[in-house]
Amino acid sequence: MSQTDIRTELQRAAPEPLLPVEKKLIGFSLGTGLVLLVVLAVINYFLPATF
Amino acid sequence: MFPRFAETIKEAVRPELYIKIAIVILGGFFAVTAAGKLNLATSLLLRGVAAIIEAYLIYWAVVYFIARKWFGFNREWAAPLASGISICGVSAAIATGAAIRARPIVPVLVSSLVVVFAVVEVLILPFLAQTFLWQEPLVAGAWIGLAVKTDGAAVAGGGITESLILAKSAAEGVTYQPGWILGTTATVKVFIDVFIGIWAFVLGYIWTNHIDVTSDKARIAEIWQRFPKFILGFVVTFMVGLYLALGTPADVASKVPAAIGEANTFRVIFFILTFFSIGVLSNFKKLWQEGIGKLAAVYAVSLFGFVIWVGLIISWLFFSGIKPPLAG
Repeated sequence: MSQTDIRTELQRAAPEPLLPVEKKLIGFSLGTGLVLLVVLAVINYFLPATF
Repeated sequence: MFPRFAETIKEAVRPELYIKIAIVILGGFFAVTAAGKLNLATSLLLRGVAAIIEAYLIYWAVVYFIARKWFGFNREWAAPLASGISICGVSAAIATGAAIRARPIVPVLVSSLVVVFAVVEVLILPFLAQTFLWQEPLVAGAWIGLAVKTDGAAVAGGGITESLILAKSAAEGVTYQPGWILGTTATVKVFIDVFIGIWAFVLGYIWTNHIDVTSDKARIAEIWQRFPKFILGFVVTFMVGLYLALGTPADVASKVPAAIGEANTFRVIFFILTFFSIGVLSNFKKLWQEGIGKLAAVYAVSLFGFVIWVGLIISWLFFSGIKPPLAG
């Protein structure tokens, strides 16, 4: 694919709306990440690094 | 930066190969460094795992959303871009591109962006770390591992950060043992690499079963196919180094640090080769010629607006208050 083709493709690409499965992936990933962040931060607080 | 020169020596410009060799050698060095402080080393490993799980889950989702919703990229471009920006640059973009059955040009272009931005980060972040994080050296090491994409740039950045922070700390009267900051960066990066295959498989499964339904379904064997095999070398040198330092008679164990010191010379040579290669490969002009300014815009917005700061928060949460052992 030439450079011009890529430029044109990126500029003129038709928008693709987010599918329900993509929304689920984003939501599940972010939700799990944030919940785990809190859980791991709490564990980290109560079980500090040993030297 | 030097396109003609880079073209002339392109066969030898292989930063990812050089850094992987350096990381394998680094395994032995870490083993000897960690042998004297096993509890601390274990704590760092566990915190590294926690930090990168966070990075995967939070980074990827947000960057994918930004690319799709704000910048209007289609799925074929947005997924490799999100993996390249949020996970581990070149290898993640390539693994994701292959997993979702994207055209080969997509991860190639994303990879060229990754290298350019990684160079910018390596030139800026270590100095910010020295200025603002010198009192939290391991936060700085983890931050560089989470924020700088591509193994080469990240570990090189960790090396620069370690030198800068050790110098600043020494000037303030605190002399830390070398190796711990770089070790934290490399640990975070190695764990990120371990998970690339798994994440690519998850994306491949969703894509080939629910988005672009195809007969070429993602297979579980792809996790192993995409597993970065150099990590096995790192684990082997680490285990051998640890055995020699802790499991052998005192007269043998006492000679191990000197032996690793010799090997470390080669590690430094490969580090320098990595630095040099990344510099030679970075062709800022080419990005604009290819008309991928929009990709660069997503990268810049995500990296400087989100990835760097979330990486800092995660690093702070898990590594603040933990100091490297003092030298001597």
